[in-house]
Amino acid sequence: MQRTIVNLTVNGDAYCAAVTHNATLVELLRDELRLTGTKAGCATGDCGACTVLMNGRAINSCLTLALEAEGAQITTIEGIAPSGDELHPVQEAFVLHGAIQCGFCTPGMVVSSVELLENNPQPSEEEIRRGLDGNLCRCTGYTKIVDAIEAVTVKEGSGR
Amino acid sequence: MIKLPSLEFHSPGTLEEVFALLATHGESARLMGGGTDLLPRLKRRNAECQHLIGLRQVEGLGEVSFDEGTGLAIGATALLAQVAELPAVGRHYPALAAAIDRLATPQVRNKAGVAGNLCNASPCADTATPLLAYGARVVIASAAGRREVGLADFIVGPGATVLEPGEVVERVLVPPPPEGLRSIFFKFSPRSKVDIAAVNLTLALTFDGERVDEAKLCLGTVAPTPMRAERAEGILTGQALDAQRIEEAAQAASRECQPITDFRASEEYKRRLVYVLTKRALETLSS
Repeated sequence: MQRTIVNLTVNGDAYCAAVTHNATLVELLRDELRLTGTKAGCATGDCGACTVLMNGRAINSCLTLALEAEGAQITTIEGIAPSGDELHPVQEAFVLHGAIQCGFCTPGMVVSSVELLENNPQPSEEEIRRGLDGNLCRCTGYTKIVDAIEAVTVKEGSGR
Repeated sequence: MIKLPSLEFHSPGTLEEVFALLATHGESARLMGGGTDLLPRLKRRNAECQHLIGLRQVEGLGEVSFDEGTGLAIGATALLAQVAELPAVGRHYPALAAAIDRLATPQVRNKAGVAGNLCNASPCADTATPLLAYGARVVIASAAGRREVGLADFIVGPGATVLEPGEVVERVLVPPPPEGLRSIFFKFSPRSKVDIAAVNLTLALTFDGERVDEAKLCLGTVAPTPMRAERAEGILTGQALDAQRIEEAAQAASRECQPITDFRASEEYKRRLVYVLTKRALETLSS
């Protein structure tokens, strides 16, 4: 099958990969770049497990062709923490609040939460729930996820 | 993991390149904006194409702008999120802002566009009823030049538009809102806002004192295409919005729509929804 070169930046690192035209971004990330933190769930944009940031916006990487990422800045769950030693405040809150059950939805939940808080640093509970409309947790552990994000907003708010 | 079928992806940088690709590949080619609808259909083998022409890199199609004199211009590949983020949209076209806010998920709104939503020509396209109410026009480009079609004439049936082979939607134009326009969008789906609407509706009214000067009531999912409820509009025009007038208009709208029973709701239930939502919209805009 025909392959074409795609140049993209993932978590600050420049990559160049030869991909088939029908490869999706999640397939490129997981199968070629071995960044398996991003999960492949429903493959049709319903579950949000494959959520990554493309040029700062949360998207379903299963509904994006790898070739559409030409020249794009991609951030996956592996690039959310500021360093190998510390977690992002959202990740820390997920740990503290036990906002993880089986963990499969967690990377997508965290990426969506990071985008939500960047656009709206003080969301209401309703805004948090709406911001996670595109992420399903099949363990149905939503309450603790919402609690975790609320805790981040309270903490960041009090620090200002 | 459902894989996409084998295909060739093209990413032209200009409209001229798009026209050339369409001319070369004809019916084996499909145009793609965000792909949030087309890619799942290709994966499920509900759609076919050998050549996928991505429009996102086409120069000049990604912008949204508002001008008080000329109105809103939405480029074919502008993201739904970009449209919703423009302050003028919330200020002058609140029903469009509300429709986008309730459309699908944040991830989809970050990838999909208005033009794609209209080109899918779904009877339940969320952006269709507000754009119909605001009098939107679709600018269509081809190698032969440009033409403009009113949105009411653009969608001709479920999944069908007036687009001819070789034509591409370039942008959607929305005229500036008339003085004193009040408008509102409602959507009802049995599960949640992420779900496709069982009924969606936009009401836009201008007033002459207490009386309605012009009424536009646009209904989605209750006919083969998004529709104007012209009988209900006629009942409202020139009249003050008292309880009886509102009741009559809501009943007329519920009678003149043509819903079908599907797995989202029965015909009877959709008619009832049209009645309730029309009444609620009229009461909200008249208060």
